[in-house]
Amino acid sequence: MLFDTPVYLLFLTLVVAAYWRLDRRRQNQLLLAASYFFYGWWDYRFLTLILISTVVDFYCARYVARSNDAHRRKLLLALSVGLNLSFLGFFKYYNFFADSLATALGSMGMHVSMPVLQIILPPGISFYTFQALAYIVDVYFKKLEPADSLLDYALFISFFPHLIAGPIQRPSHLLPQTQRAREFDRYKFFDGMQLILTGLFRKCVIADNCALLADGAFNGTLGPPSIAVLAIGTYAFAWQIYGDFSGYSDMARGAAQLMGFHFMVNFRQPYLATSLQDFWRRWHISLSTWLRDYLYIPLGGSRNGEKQTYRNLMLTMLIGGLWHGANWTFVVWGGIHGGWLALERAMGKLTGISDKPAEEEQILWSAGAWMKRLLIFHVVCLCWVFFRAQSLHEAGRMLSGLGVWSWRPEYGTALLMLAAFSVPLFLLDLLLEIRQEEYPLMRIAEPWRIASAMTMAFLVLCFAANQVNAFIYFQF
Amino acid sequence: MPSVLLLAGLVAMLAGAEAAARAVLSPSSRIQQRVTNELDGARSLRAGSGSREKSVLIAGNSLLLAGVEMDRLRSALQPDWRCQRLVIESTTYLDWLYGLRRLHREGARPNVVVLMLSTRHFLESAVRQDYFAHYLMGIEDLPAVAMATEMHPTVATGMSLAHYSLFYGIRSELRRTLLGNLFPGLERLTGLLTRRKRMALDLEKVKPVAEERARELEQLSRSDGYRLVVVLPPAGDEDLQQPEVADLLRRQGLTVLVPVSSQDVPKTQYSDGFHLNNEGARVFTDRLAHELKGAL
Repeated sequence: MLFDTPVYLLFLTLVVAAYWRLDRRRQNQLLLAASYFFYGWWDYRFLTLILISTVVDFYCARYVARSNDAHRRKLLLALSVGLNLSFLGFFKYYNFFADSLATALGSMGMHVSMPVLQIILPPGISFYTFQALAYIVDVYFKKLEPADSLLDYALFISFFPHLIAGPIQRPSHLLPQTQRAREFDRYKFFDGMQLILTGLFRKCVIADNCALLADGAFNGTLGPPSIAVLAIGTYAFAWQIYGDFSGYSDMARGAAQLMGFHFMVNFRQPYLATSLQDFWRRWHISLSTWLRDYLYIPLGGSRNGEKQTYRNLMLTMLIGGLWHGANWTFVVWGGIHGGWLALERAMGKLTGISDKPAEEEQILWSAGAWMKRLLIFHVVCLCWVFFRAQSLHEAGRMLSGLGVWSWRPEYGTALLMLAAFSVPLFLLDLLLEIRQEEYPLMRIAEPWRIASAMTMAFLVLCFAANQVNAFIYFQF
Repeated sequence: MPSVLLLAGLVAMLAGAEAAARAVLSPSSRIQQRVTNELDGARSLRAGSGSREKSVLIAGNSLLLAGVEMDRLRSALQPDWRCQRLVIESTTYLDWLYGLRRLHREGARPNVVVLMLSTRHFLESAVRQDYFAHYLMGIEDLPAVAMATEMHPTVATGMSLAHYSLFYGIRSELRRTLLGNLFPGLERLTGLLTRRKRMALDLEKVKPVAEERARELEQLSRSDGYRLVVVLPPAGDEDLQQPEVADLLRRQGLTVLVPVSSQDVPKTQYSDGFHLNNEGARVFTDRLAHELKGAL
């Protein structure tokens, strides 16, 4: 069930309508049943996987919390982490590693034939695995009390708005919400509806229309690689992926909010970042903070000297890249991000300028800040070429267009269309940046908020691309 | 309460969109008008016998629209045959398999149905989703369509909505019209974006598909009481295996006409390498009329 389809909107309406008539326990039962139905609609075969993972993690965490035996605690932690990572590793990375190993051995003259398996990636596995890992690790380090009800824990893992593509919820944030009664707040309910409409606008109007151009450029129908094709493809993809994922996140947050839950903000105007470090404070925040807290800091963070810090930074970004998909293109994508972050850190050390966005308000309109934004936007766009391409070869082919100039009248129409679909999102971001709001236009009068939501809905009715386009992050 | 107001506004907007689609948008579009008129014409066809004028329904996609001059064809087939055209663009075999079923249920009783599809269109396994769901698919056929196209339940549910809602069914056309007005060069850009380099058909692979489809059509025409004629029109460089596919279909007992094969049409008779231009249409219509007269 895609969030932008009538069947999902019907499903959500029915669930919300029933939800507010029940007490907390029954609410949780309803939501769990609805979440498993939602997941089963995608692919019922993988329900077993999520059930096994849920039960094992729940009991491991309970015994970890109860036990004083350090060895036993470690063993239980290893069991839970091992199980989650082995599911993820097998379903997502088996073929990638088998193929890469065979290629590496082949280059050393050892020709081996690794069995290639026809494995289907279970939907949402990368997201719920990270959520489960955070839970067991937090319980192990006594930062969190384990859930005392399997129902509450199962709901924390499987709650349908975040199940397939996040935002990756922190146990300390979402689990307590499953454990206490939710109260109906009409203003929060309205915020939720508005988030869903904003998300639909981002996805159906911006992302799906930009996707037509990005696909045309990357699959070659727009013409052989040239500066124009590269520009159209890369800019279109930049707005497509942003509209797609931030739209999905908004719709997830909005759906959760209709049921009295609060999800963390996943995007804060990323293309207004003035440095790559700033970009990662704004882009896919639930993943970047997860990587920081459960990978970068445990690796040592910046505590063990500069050399180790650079290593940790690079490792975190490489693994973050690989998390997105089993392909070398994602590793290169992570590598470029890691390299640039390291460069920024080194430059900061050299010049003594810190990159804390404390004076954001003051620098919003300064020419220097806009120059930085432009530079960072293009660094990010360069990385998107690797992210979007199916292979390193394809990425190289696209980038080879940098040295070629060719023009067709259709490119002018494509650029015009791209501007028409990206500028509204840019302006929306600028507005959110100026007003520093969690919900669009949350501080204006109610009638205007309703009017803005209706305008979004109207634009969706008029301009939604008609194909059913899965959200990009659903494949991760 | 803001959420109630917003909900009410959204419901009103959806109802308004549906009403506007029915009252204003559809009647003001030339394409929509044509489709509606032709569908009405097809539904009203009645079988003639003896000295009464017999009826023939010619169905197909843009290849029919561009390639056949209907007035010329009608006058060639008069006085014995009354011709009704039904063109729905971007449709292929499955659209028409279920479309003909629905037309029969809705009262269409032609003596002959001429289905005009290129070999590729005949062998494709897709439908024109929401538009098809509204105009050609009967709701009782949805499970069969979903199975035939390996459709995900999410898409199938959207199609059931499109079957009942005109706005949902034609919203892609509305969007295209809106965008076309905003960006005058859009048609050329879309042409560029949707062009596909196609490989030659692997006849061994398509043989079972062609045979099964020939049987399906044969059964359909027998049960619904009309004679079926398949016409394979010329469709450019990428459609050069008409003789082989025609033979495959004929072997299953289907009447198949290839009035002019793709390789016999000079490039000058195509408007875009795929659709015939006026000159090509004139030549093709004359040959089609000649062959139809023989076949009917």
